[in-house]
Amino acid sequence: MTETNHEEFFNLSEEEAFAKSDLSDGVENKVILSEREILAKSDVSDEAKIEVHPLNEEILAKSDEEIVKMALANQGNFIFIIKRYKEKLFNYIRRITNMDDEDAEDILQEVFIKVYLNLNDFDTSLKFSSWIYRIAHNQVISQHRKLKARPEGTALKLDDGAVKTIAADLDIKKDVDLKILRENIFGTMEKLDSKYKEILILKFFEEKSYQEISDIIKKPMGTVASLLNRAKEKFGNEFSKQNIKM
Amino acid sequence: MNSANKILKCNYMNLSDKFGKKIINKIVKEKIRPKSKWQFLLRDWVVWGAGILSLVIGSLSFAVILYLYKFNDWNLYLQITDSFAEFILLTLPYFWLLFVVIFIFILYYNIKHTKKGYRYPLPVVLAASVLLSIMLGSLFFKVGLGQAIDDVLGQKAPLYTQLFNRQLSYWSEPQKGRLSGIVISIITDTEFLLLDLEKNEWKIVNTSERRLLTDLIQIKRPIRLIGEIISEDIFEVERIMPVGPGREFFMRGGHMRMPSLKDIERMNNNTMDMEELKERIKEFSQRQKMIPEMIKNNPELNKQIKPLELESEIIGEMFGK
Repeated sequence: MTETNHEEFFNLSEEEAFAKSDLSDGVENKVILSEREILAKSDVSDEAKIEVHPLNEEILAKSDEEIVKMALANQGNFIFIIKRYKEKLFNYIRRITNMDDEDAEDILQEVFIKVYLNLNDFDTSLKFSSWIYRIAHNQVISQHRKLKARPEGTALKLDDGAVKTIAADLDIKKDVDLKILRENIFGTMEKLDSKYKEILILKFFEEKSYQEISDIIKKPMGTVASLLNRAKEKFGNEFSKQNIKM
Repeated sequence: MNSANKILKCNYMNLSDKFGKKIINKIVKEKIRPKSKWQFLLRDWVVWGAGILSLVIGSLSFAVILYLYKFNDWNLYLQITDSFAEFILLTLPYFWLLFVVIFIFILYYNIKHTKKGYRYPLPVVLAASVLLSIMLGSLFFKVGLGQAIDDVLGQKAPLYTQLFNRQLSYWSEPQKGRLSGIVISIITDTEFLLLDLEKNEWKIVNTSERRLLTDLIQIKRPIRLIGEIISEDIFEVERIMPVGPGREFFMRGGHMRMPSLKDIERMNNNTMDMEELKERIKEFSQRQKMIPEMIKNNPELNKQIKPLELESEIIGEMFGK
C-alpha cells in the first residue's frame, strides 16, 4: 500500500483499510516478510519482535474488550485498537481544542500510549469507548494549556445532515441557510466556555449517551444533565446574539 | 526466518499505516509495557484502605463525642450557664467535631476516587459518609470505645483539658460554684479534702441538713461538686456527682498526691482507724516509686519530699512495711 496523505489516513476506517489492503482477497491474509524487508519498511529496531494477528473478518467482528485482551497478550495487536479509534478520537480532540492536525496528532499519539500503558486498568463494566474517550479528555486537559490552541475554525467539520440534526437538537430555527447555520454553530461554539463546549460536542457531535458522558468526564449523571441543559441555554443565548449581529 | 529472535511476523497493511506504525514502533523501541494489574489493584486498595481508615477514625471521634455528651449534665445547664444556647456553645467538643468533619471529608474524597465513585452525586456521597460515621460511631460508643479513648487521652495526652475534654475546665471554676477534683482524705462524714485540677487543696464541708452521696466520697475517686466558696480554701458542697469523661486525668502523677503527714495525723486522731492508716501507708510506699520522675519534672519538689521519705521509713518500720 502506498503512503497515504494525512487526509486520507484519517478518513480510512477499519473496514476500508481492510478492503484496500492486499489481505481482503481471502487467499492468505498473513503476510510474512523477511527480516530485511521488515526493517526496511519500519523504524523498528533489529531487536524488535512484533507479531500481529491478521486483519480479517474475525477481527472486525471482535468486541473492543476482546481486542484489549489480544493487545495484552501481544503488543502488535494494539494496532487494531488504534485503527478502531484513531479517527474518532482525532476528530474529538480537534473539536474540543481547535488544534491544527499536527498538534492534535501529537496528543492522539500520547493518548494511545497512555491507553496502552493502562490497558490493565480497563474496567470491563465500562464501555471501552467511554474509557478511551476519558483518557483523551484527560490528555487534552493536561496538554491543552501547554500547547496553547490556535483557533483554526475548521475543527468542527459538519455535513448538512449533521447541521440540521444539531440545529434540531439545540432548538435552533431551521429556516436559516445551511451555510450560515453551520458558520453560526461554529462561531457560537467557539464563544462557549470549554466545559459547555465539550459537553455539547460529546452529546451532539460524538453522539454519546448520558451514561457515557458521565463515564468520560467522571461526573454523576445528574450533573451531566444539568451541565448539558446549561450548555444548551448558553448556546441558545449566544446563537441569538450572533444572529442579531448578522 | 532463520533467526528466531529477529523474526517479525506482521500484517503488512497494519505496519504500512503511518500513524499506527509510529505508535507501535514507539512502544517497541521504548520497550513500553502495560502497567501490571497489581499496580492498579494496589492503587484501588490504597483508596479503599484510606477510606476505611478515615471511616474508623471519624467514627471513633464520634463515639467520643457521644461519650462526652452522655455526661454533659443537661439537667444542670442553668446552674452552669445562663441559657441553653450558651451551655451548648460552652460544652461543644470543638476538637472532636473538627476531627469528625475532617475524616468525613477524607472519607468522601476516597469514595469519590474509587473506580465508580464519580457516578454518585456529592450530596449522596456526603450523606453516606456522615451516616456511616454516625452508625459505626454509635456502635463504637456502645461497646465502650468512646470511654476507652477518653481514658487513654486523659492519662497521657497533653493539652487534654484544652483540646480533648473542655468540660473539665468549666468544672474548675469554684468562684462560680463548680469544682472538681480527687478526694485525698476523708475527715468526717461531712468533711473531706479535695485536690482540684490546679492542684489546690480544698476542705469540702456540708453544713446543710441535706445528706451527701457518701458512696462517692472515696479516697482517690474523682468527683464534681456544686456549691460555693465559704472561705479561702473551704467549699460548701450542695451536690456531689461522679466524673465521667476525664476521670483518668485526675489519676495523672501530678494529681496522685501523696498523703501528707498532716493527713495521717488527722486521720489517726480523728478516726483511729489503724487498718485504714496501714492501707494509706502501703499506697504511700507504692507512690514513692513515682518520686524520681516527679523530681525530674519539678526539682523544687525535692526539698519537700525528702523529709517525707524519712518519715515513711520510720512509719514503715513501725508497721513492719
